[in-house]
Amino acid sequence: MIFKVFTFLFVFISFSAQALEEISDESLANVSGQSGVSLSGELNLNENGGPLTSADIGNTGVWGTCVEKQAASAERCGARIAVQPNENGGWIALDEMKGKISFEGLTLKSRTIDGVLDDFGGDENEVGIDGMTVLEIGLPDKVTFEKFQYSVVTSSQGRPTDTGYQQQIRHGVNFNGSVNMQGNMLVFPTGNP
Amino acid sequence: MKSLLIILLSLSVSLANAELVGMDETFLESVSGQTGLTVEMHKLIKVEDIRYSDKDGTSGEILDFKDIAIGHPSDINNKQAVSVHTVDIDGNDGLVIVSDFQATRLQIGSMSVGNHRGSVADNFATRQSFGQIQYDWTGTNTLSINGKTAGESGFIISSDTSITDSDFRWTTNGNTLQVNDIIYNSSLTNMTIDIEDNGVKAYLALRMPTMSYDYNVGSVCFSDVDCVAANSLGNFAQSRTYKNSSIFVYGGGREGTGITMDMHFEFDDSVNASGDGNVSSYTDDATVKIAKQSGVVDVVGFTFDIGTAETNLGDHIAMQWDSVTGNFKTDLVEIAGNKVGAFEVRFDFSDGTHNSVDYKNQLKLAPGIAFAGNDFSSDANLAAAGFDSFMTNFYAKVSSVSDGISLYNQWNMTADYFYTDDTNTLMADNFYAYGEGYSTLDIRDGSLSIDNTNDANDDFLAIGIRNYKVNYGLDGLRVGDETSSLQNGHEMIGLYSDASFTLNGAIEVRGGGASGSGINIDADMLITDGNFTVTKSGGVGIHLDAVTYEFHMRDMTMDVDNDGIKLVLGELWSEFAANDIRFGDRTTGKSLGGIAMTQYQKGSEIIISGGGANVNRCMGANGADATACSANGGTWIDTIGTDGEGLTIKNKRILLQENIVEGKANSVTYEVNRTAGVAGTGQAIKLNNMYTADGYDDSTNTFGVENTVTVDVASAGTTGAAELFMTHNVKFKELNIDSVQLLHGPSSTSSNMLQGIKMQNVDFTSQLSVSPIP
Repeated sequence: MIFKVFTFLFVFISFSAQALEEISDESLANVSGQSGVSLSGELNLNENGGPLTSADIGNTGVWGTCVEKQAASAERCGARIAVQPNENGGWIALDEMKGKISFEGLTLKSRTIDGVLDDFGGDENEVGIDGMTVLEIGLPDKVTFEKFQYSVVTSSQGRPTDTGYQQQIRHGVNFNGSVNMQGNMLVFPTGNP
Repeated sequence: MKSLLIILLSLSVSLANAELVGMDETFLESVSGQTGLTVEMHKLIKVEDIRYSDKDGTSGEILDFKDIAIGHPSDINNKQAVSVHTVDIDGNDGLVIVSDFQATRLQIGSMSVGNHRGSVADNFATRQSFGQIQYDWTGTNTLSINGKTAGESGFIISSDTSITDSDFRWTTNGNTLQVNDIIYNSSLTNMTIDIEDNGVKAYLALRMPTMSYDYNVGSVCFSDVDCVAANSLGNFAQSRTYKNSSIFVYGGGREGTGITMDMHFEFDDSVNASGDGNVSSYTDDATVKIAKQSGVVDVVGFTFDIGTAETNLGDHIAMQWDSVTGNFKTDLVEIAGNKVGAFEVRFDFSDGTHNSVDYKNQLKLAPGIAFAGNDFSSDANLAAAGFDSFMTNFYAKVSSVSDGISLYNQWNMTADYFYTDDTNTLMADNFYAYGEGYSTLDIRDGSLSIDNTNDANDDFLAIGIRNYKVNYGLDGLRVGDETSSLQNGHEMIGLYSDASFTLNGAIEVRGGGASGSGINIDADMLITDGNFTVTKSGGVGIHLDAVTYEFHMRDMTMDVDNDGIKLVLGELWSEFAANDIRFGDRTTGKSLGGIAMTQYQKGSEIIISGGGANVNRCMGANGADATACSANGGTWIDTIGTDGEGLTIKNKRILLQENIVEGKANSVTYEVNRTAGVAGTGQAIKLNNMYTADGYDDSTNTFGVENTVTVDVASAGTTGAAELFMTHNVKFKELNIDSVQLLHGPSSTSSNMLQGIKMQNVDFTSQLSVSPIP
């Protein structure tokens, strides 16, 4: 199961080529009634905080729930991804990530490119494209962000609880509102595997 | 079926006993002047050899049973078993025999077939046996044999059997599987026995308008002495009632002489109106229950032969089915008291042809251990994966004269599966499976374990799997009913759209779980020639091709407690490689490159429990109920329904830091630009040495990655239409990637692109409605 999840993620994020496509009525009719899947729902990150709690060893005053953060008894309640680019160097991190994204009508299916019916800027006429199987990710009609936020920080250590930890906040982002989307993203292999 | 066999055995034992009794004068005096006849039998019986032969000059062989004994369980060689039989002729019930069996043991010293039987010349030193069987019982039986109405031939038989205490033992090479404290009751009412003719041949016709049985197995273990909680697999129970069932028995097998049977069994679902009805259950600290069962099965052309010269089995018992069709439904599946929902499968096991190979439904059984003592280094697939040594080691612990069971199984089937959560149904459409392969079974001494850390006193069931070629797949899901649009989504609950692979492996099963009774498993497994369709639609898909997956488990325990079905993995390490991620055709589609993953875990666990997300909510808007939600542009989702049914799978993975000495680690590698598609010749990016931690140092690692998945078929919108609804929650305190490496295959060099990635305090939840593309 974990392999399958990895593979899904892998295919989605590591594709070697992608294109945004206007899908024609003919194409829509062509795929009507086929399988595939339409997803609607919500993604929620650290709604109330994460699994690192103020009761954990060494966490007092650093990690806690978002209620504790609001009460200033904890510094942070969001998720954190830190990357160390250089050996023995500092870290750059997306810090205090939290919030909600909801969407409707994200579709996933595999299908074959039709050089006659499909239209994505002429690329469909390139050699080898017609008849190629692609993973088609149909972008959701509407994506709503609600208190989706993070900060970009640089820090001296990987963990905020490490001795001597210091950080600089480079900037913060807070998304609220809706984004309307159209079209599809096609994922397909190119080049030498 | 099982009950019928036991009933027939009861009948035959009762009848045989009635015929064999000898009466002295004192005994005759004691019964004179009474109505009927009471017979007390004292049995000390030894039979050297019983043979069944279907040899007819062109086919067939001999099945023999040696060293058969009946006596008292405390001393079968010297102490008599006692049974008392009252024989009466009743004007209504006909001949009535009431039997009371005091403690009795039936022992079969050895069972073998054809060329495995050894010879007198070497005092049977080369004989291979299925093992030794021992059955102890105490119980009663009432048997009524009546004629039909005037002018009709045939018999009408009724039988009631109650076995109040029995034990079964299967022993191979001095090591024993114990099934203790079996309580069994059965009732057969008005079974007719006739000889009929269908215009082609005459046959024996058994028709059973009503029959029922129930049993309870107290414990099962691998031990020379009676089971205790610490080594028991658990408690098993079943209760079933059938109606309008029949068995027709024909002479002649698949080849020449043999036996052919057609069978029809039908659950009597009227018993489901109250309580659990027809039910099967497994109990450890808590119970898994499959209740309110119904359905019907038709078996056509079941044949029993003694076959000869199978490539790996030699002579063997051969069973084959022309077709097995029907349906099985359970309206109530519960795990630890929590309802999962209802399941149904409509199945058809019939012959089929795939890639010009004919697949039939057949099972061949041979005594002894096929592959015993084999050196598997000549198997290119196993050797390439470095797995040959595991197989060689497993089969080095038995010899060419060891007892055990070797099997060859070939199958071809199609089925539709239905899952109903409250009143909403999900269908897995056009599932198919076919394949073939060998396996071996024997009970081994604890000292022969593949894991030398195991207790040498814990005997175990050894299961060998050899070249099991498995193929399966399905069209997709339909939510609502059979006419609903086909959709994907099964990939998200762990089902590949199509899969084919070859399986080799060695498995050890012990009794005793993490707490008290339960199941303990060690295993070394290898999948080769794998092809897995990650997703497909409209006839095309994305596939993992040329897959090799080697995995090893040590001390995995399975228990059922109040949390659900709990699998706790002792140590797990694995290597997975898909040489190509293909788009289009499964084996020739354009490749995205290769992917490889390794796993190294200890203390991970999986818990499967009843009940799903258990939420009612407005998706995409706000609203307190379906109407308000719809008015605000959202979709109301109800996963609670009337009973809160659904399925929850919790998964906790504790990823360990790499063990360089043992070559174990967690990693993911993606490689492209290879020479002729050969792994290791191109450029790769590798997530190296991934491990979890508790958030404040690298050495404390108890939380891992927690993943909770719920699956519901919910009511959606104001109309309450069925919709697949899934939630995922992923939590971890800290997940580390020690480095992100760039590997240059041709030069065997690497460099670190990133020195490390540290992810902390993640609590990610998704709630998804999964529906067809409109």
